[in-house]
Amino acid sequence: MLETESLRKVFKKQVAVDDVNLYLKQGESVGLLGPNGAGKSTFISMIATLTKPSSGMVTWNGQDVIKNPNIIRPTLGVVPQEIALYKELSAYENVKFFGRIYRLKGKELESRVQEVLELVGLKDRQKELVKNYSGGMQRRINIAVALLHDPEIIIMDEPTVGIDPQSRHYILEMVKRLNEEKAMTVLYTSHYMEEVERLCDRIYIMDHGKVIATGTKEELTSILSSEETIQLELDQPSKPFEEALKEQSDVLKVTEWEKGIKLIVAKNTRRLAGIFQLAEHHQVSINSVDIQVPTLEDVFLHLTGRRLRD
Amino acid sequence: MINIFTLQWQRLRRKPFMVLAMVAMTIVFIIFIGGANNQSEVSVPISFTEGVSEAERTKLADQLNELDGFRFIETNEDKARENIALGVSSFGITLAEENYRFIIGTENPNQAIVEQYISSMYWEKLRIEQAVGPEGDEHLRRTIEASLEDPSMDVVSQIGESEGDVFIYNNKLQALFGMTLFFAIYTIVFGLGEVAEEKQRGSWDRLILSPVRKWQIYLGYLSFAFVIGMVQIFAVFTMFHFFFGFDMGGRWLEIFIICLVYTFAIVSLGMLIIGLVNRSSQLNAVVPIIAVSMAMLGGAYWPIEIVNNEVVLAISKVIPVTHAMEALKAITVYGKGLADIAQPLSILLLMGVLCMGCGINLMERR
Repeated sequence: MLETESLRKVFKKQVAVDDVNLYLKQGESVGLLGPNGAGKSTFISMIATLTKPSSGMVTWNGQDVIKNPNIIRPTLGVVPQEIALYKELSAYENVKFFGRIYRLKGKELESRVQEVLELVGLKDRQKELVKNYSGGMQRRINIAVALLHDPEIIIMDEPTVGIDPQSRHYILEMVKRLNEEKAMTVLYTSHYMEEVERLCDRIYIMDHGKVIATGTKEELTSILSSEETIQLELDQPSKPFEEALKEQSDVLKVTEWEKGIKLIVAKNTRRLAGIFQLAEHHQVSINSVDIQVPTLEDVFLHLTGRRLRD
Repeated sequence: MINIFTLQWQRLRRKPFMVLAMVAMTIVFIIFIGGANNQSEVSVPISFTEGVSEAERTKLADQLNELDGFRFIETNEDKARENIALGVSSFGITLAEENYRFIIGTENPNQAIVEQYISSMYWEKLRIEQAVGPEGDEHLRRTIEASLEDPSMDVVSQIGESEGDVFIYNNKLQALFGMTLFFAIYTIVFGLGEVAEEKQRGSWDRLILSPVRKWQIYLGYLSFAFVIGMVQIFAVFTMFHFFFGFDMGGRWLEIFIICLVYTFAIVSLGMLIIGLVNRSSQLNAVVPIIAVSMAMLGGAYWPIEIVNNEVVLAISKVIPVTHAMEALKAITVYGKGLADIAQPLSILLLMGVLCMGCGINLMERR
């Protein structure tokens, strides 16, 4: 089991990671959700033994990995946020180089290279130069390299940033397969709530370097079990209407979305009639009303007052 | 280590333009400055005062034309002044029986070289005149001149007022060594710049997480930069020796040792620079400034022997180019041995060790 205890990292006077406790059981898929700058990358960099923490502990099966990084390194596959490849080389040459670095040789090396290229769906295009690949294909090779030495645990730092929906879907399916079929332990960081919802058994929500909530998706959304989200689609935005809604006693939070306003209200308060009256008073036309089950996005909004991608 | 070393060659094969451009620039600059043919010799107009006899004029002109890299053309003083005023020549010389006078249009490092040569020529001439005496014993004069042309022994060391005579200017070798060492700095440091790029790109972290030891990773990159630097320097040297007829004296072992030590010093300096900068874009900005400064102050563009400024000379002592140039000239121009260049080689080694230590330390701290 991988575990962190009061893990903290301070850069000069800036606290990047603040007393984070996390555990990751064998075969589990855990998501680390948070906006950009939440400290996710610094946190996983410490787990991966690439950055020394200012204080706290990281243990792998009870052994201190800060003192001896070699305990975890052979079992660890890391997919960095950047495309950590040699773009002037082909996909095959890249994967083969990293295979050699992991001391794979001869037939074993060749078969492992072909295996991971097949896994990421680029076996047929392995001779092409990486620089000629699309962003999504480059990200797939980035993952392939991390899988070469058949790691027990894979840490993925926002592996789907800036790619097309098809590639994103492919990567998510692949990660799911690795976790379910090969029982690979996955630590997946993202600021895309839907990715974490789809892939992970448990979720840690991070903001400003701290873990602000943790649990399964159901546990997290139950934070809002006494609340519901009402999404109003308006024909045009209206500040007076928004302000009037905020003044209502049972409206807990009001935020804007691209087509109107989103309200978090206490459950079963039967606010709809009052909302329509206020809209009429402010001469606002409501095109549609959607009463939603709380999502992780709502949980994040509730906990921080901000959206994940703000 | 071998894997990282071979990876760099594989990448170079796909992206050879920078190294090829540096080799091409070296060749062009050597031909332009050093002159692969006689047409690129510096022309200097000379004129004589009325008291100089015809025989003396021929003799002085012949003696002057023995100076490599220059062509002294006899003309009259008015014509010489006109050429200088028009910018055809930067300076000219009026020669008299016992003295000479420079006519200078613009400051030019070649003046100092000619000045030094002509000064020693007149010193010799005046000494002979003194020995021969006012009566002019022609037999004695011929004997002295014959002895000077075919001396019974070579005077190896010179001190005092004649120290300047030790400086021999070879325009071709000056350009060959200077430009080769200068452009090699770019190839070596930019070759090492891959370390900075790897760190930015994240592939460095992949290497760190792999079973390869950190010293093996560094050694892979350092050995590549070292070998590519050596290959470039030696390719240019052999090309100019065998195809352009630059006489390097055939002391290849000594030249090879100097290049080894110089390349080591530059690789180490490169590590220090990479340790100091944060990004590869900063490296791209800093390297040309450092390389050009080192070439100017270290005597790659012009001989350091003609520089008199104490401050510049003091700075030049901490520049690897200075010591490499000194060692190369000692072997090829002055015919000295390996023991004579022990000092510049030791300084280069010391610089290399210090820069390497500081550079790796700085990189690891980040």
